[in-house]
Amino acid sequence: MPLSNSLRTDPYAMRATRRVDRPVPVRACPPRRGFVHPAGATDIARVLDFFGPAAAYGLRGIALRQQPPAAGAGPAVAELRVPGLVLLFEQPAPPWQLPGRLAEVAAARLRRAGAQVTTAGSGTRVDWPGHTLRDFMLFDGLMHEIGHHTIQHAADKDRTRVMRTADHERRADAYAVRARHAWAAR
Amino acid sequence: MNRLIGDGVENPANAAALAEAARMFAVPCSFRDSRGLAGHFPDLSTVDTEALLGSVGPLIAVDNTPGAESVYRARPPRPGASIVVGNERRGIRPDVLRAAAKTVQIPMPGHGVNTLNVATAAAVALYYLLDAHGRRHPRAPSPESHRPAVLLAAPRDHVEAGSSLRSAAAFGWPAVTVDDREKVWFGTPRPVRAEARAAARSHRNPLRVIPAGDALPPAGRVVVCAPEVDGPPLHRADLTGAGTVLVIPDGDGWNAPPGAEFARVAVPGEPGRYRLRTGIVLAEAARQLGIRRSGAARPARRGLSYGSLLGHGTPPDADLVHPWELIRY
Repeated sequence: MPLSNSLRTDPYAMRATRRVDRPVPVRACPPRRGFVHPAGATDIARVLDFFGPAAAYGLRGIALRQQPPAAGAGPAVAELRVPGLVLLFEQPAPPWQLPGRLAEVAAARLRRAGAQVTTAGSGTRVDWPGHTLRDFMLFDGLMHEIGHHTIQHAADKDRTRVMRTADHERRADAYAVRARHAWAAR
Repeated sequence: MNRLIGDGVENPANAAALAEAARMFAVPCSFRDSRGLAGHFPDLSTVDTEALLGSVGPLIAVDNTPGAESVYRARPPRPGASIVVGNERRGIRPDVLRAAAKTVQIPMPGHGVNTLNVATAAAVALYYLLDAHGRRHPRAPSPESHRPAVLLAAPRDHVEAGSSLRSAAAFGWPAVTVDDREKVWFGTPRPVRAEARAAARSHRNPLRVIPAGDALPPAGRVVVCAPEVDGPPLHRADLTGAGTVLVIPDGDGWNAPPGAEFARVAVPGEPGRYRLRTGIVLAEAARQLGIRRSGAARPARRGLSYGSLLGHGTPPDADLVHPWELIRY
């Protein structure tokens, strides 16, 4: 019995190659005084070019924004608004002087990105040598959220979560780590 | 003497309205003309960048930049202040914002439309910076239950009516009644309709415009707000409360019903055009309603989203202050 040859059932990467026909728009809101956008529109375009249509498929836009007013438990890095809008938030100009102590998971995440995290007294100092802060935003911010997006988009779901949040986060994190390794080995 | 400055205003009609706003408050009006306004107004009073930035009095920028102070809470400026409003789309240029002693913004809780016409914004700012002393206290919390209905009574110009509807949406009114006896909003010819809708920013204005018919909206209390009426000044009259209708008439063609209260749009100069008066009345009513709490300003987003935060292990026992916050303080 012959298999269906529907274009809709092609694998995700093949559909992406066929359907991505324009670059993802990047909109930038200027950061407040004392803050920066570590990764600019050019850096984002370069990374998306490198990873090709599979990363850009279904993305409606990327916005560089100021920190949201009530960021919650700590500084916001990035956010995915399903379907397909990635927000990258401004960050304090390095070195960071953060009040209180970072959670172990957050500190490990920063160290993995190349930051030097020092806890002293009631504050935490985070130094970002070289381009580590830019790469942190590109991979732990942008590619992490694209990881979330890919999971939802491949399942064609924009109102319901495809999997448990913990699993979603784990897979998005793995996607970002793979992207970082591929970028380093280019 | 204080003065009003239009920085890069490009629409000649807005420039004329801005000059009229200045005449309402008996202050001179000048323009930093980078958009060729002088070609439309040969006797335009202009000011160059050097004179503007080097002026003796303080510069007060009216712009909704982050961190700007609410114009309702701003102190009156020292004599000789220059109050600057900016280009219709781009706002005030960065050199003035950097040189300004103070930046004030007009709080606008509306959805969809969150800006005023530049002349309306100037009139509202001048009203609160120069004129409205001894104001009533705002009513918050739960301001929405006290929001009055608004009736635009017999507006005589379609652009003025449209601009007033834009102001109503920007100040958070979901619906406005229009007594359209001059036929400027409903059933107008296509070009007039297009101009009126453009002034109201209809493409993103969620305001519902209700024709008044022959009767007032059902109300227990009617407050007529006009420049030449016998009543307390606007900022000392109670403009809010459930069952209240604010009537803003244009000219003398509308007769107040028996038992109506009056609030005077008290300005030291000319009465000003309709959109300026409407802007001031609606701003004052919005001020008396009070500012909604930040959490209630916008309904929570319901869509699916994934956020990435750097979580705190130990909550900070003190607030960290950035140098720019100290400078601003």
